[in-house]
Amino acid sequence: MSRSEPSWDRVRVSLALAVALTAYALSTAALPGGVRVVVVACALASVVGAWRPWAWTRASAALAALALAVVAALAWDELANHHFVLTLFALGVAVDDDARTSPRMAAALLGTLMAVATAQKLVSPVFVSGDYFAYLLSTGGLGGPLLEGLDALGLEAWSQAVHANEQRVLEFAVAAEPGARVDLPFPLANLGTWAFAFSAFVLAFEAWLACVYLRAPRHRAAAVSLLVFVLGLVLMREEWVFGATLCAMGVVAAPGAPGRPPTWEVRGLAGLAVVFAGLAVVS
Amino acid sequence: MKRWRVWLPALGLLGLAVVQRLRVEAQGLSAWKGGGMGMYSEFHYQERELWLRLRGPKRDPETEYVGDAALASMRTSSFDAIRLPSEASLSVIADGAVADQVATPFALELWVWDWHEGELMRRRTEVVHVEE
Repeated sequence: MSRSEPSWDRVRVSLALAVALTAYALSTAALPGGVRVVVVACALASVVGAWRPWAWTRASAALAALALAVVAALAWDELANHHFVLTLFALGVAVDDDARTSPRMAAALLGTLMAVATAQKLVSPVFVSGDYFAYLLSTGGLGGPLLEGLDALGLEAWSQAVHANEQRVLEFAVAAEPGARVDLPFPLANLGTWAFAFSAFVLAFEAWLACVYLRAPRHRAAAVSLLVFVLGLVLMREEWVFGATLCAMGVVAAPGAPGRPPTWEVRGLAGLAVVFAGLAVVS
Repeated sequence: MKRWRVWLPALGLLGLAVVQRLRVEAQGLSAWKGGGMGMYSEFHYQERELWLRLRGPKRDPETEYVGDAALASMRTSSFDAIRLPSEASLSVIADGAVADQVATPFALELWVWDWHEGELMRRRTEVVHVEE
């Protein structure tokens, strides 16, 4: 591609990668300082690459992938999962010799990510039973960002129960012997049943995302579904970096249409990627 | 773009997940870690605890257990061990406990939090016996 003809594919891949790299590097204190500088520099170079030959973005992605891979090699079991996703995303851009095929790469990575996440949950008895989500719901581990809103909706009893349970968990954590137990009351009848249903819904939604990105990534349902998933994710947990990474990959994975503006769902994913990146940095 | 390049990151992620799952099953690695996308599939590894159970003939039932906040060796070493309770990492803690003059024999136990029908409890998963 020539410098005079910036394509939609080249622009969105370059900018999406830059947003994801920036969100991660600026918000992750655990990354060595030098690596953070290199990754941010790669992100800036990728922005410039949107209006430069494609090789510019590829080189930026390659350097970022290398820096992140070195960190992974040194601290494999300490890193968040989005470190590995971002490394592989950057690697995919680096080995891609044509920006027009990046959507296929990103869709394959997104679909595989969702398939693997689904499989991990399926083999976990505490997830399948709903017990883990019941624990999270009754202690604010899920839905924490919504707690203030519950009061406005007249559900003060829920937020009060969560705050009381948080205190009980703290006391449980310093028990004098491991056989100690504590009740975590929650004002929702059949919490276990609701949590089981929620677990099943999450499993089904992730499986759906895996299917749609692996089998029909060009269908608009893929980006729409990802948009809904990411919105639900950040309403449940403040996962700004992972949210920004997913949105950036979703923007790249969406099919491009020469001469036509991006669809509303792709613009939504792009906007959320920037917002989440900003929230990751300031929070 | 050649087809293998399109699938390279996805296959890389799949490979990571397979290796991570094998480590989860064989070594007790937390599903949250190791790049296997197991986040939110089980209790977080910070909700695992190491307890040292005294097994000597004169032990007092009231003080049978020593929690991971009580011993310097466990405070400094247990974070890696609860994430990956391998034989090597548990041995480091056992050696530290001996150095902290904990009377042998004792058992080093890994407990994970569990929730069932509104009750939070712990479940024992790994035990290392230390005789001397």
